Amino acid sequence: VQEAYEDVNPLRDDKAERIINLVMLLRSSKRGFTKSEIFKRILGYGAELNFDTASTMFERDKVELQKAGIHVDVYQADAYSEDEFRYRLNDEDALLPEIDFTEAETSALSIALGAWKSTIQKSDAVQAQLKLEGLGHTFTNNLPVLEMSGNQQLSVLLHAISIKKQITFDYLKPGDTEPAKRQLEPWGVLVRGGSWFVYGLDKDRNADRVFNLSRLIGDVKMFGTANAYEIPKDLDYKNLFQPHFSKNQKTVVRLRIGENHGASWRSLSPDPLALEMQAGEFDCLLTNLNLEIPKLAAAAPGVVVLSPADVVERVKNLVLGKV
Amino acid sequence: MSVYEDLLNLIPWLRTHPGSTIPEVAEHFGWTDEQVVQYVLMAGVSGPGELHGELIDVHLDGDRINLVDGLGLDRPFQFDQVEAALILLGLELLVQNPQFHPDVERECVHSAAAKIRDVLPRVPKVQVIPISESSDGLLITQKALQSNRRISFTYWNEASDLAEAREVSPHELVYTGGLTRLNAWCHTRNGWRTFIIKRMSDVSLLEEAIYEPESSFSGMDFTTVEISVPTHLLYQLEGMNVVSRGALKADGIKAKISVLEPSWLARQILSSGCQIKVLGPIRFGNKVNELVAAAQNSYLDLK
Repeated sequence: VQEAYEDVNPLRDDKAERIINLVMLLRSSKRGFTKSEIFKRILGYGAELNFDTASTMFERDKVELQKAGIHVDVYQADAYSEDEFRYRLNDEDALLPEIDFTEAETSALSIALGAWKSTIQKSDAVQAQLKLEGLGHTFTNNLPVLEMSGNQQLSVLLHAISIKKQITFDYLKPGDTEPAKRQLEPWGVLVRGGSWFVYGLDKDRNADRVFNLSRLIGDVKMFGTANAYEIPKDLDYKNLFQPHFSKNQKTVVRLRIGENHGASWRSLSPDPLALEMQAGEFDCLLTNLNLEIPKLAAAAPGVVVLSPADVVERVKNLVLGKV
Repeated sequence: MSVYEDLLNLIPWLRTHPGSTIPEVAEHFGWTDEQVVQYVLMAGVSGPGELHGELIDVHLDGDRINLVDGLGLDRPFQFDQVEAALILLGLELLVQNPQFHPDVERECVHSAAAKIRDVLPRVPKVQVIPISESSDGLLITQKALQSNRRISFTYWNEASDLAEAREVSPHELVYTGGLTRLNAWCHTRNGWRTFIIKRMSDVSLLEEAIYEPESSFSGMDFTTVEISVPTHLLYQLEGMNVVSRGALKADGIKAKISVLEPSWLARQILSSGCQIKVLGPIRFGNKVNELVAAAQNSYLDLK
């Protein structure tokens, strides 16, 4: 096989071979291995040529494995020698134990994993499915009727929450044109409708806050040490959304609608006749102007704002591109 | 996924699927036959030593693959936090929306989640807030699907901002992008259409049986449109069907999105303060620009 592999295989991958051999070696002894011992056994590190380069390669491989969910355990075997770090993979932590799912549970898992098929999280979901298949479970791959909406930042957030590390990001509040830097102790993520949110302790305001992930500009960055905070237990996440809306005052806005237009605005009118109206003018009550003004701009020309003047001005500026 | 990750997935799978053929493995993993052979050969030269018993023992008999000794690599590695969280979120979504899979018992979903949590207790806190759509429209649509009957309703078309009467033969309910949608044959338009449940009103169950067209549901005719989006408006992409996106630059990004009607894109542009631009195709862009101009005239004419 070895000859066939070396002669026939044009797609040889030295890095993959090295990492696979590393995984197998680190699992083969409970005591673990020092770097020198690892380099002696795995020729792919080329330690006989340059020990420092081999060490750098080894550290990179460890990071790769960490990314794949495989944690290399490091411990100091000899308290008096800093050189005596030993590396090992503990089967109990590293391997997925046999899980006895019933057929009905497997079918629920199929649906749960299928929900991520069209999202940026797809490859993580596929990886999870392959691991479960490796335990002998069979999954169906029907077209999902329940689909999650993915988010680019979700993976880093889940990682930060799992190791309780603080994060920082640029956030654009509704109505603002420039993002502001925020620091957060993330406690959890949630999805409402198709939108993802992260909630936690806002370090600048020293209060719990919810952030819509679609309003994050650029990447989320972790900082500080792991296990930097405690996540409160029994937090009622539904209440997190309440204060932001209840503080806002209602504004009366007069609208003119064209025939059969503006169905969603008519339902916001205190006048029940507005619902029956085919076309004409009516007042409606708007709760959060920052959110509603872009929607009013989008509704033109079927819906046009007539008053108050400041709202007309803001909508007009959006429609005419004067922002 | 990298080559070593592929290999770490393949070896446990071969243990639980002995005697699989090369094409079967290739189809399952989405690889080519050549890749499968490469991975099998690579597995055969992997191990903590170089002697017999120190290398993975995998046999390639014709095109059948048999794993004889995986040297401990034949068990999958533990889920990472993200993988486990995705499973739990998917299960939570199912618990909150049982109407999409009435055949799946809620207890089974809970017990599957409990087993996942048992193997990885430090999974981050994740929540799905229920879809608050126990509307009459949804209930009547579900009844229609069970009894194979048509429904009629008034539909608010977001793109045109018009409310129109429709009669449809329901085909299936799907939940995607945070919204419950009905795929149906629309008798009013004589074609397949997708309707967002919360935009339906005055929903009535009709006596007529559903019509089963010859063509199966294949979605609607979308156009791929290239747009530019400034950095501070990137959040608007969340509500769009993004096909691909370019790299983030100082002035924003270029993205390709899938659009059904020009009027929908015109609305997105207006709400952005005309800062989202259509880059192509030109004909589609012209239609969008005409609609934007009509909206602008409505405010220029305002006294």
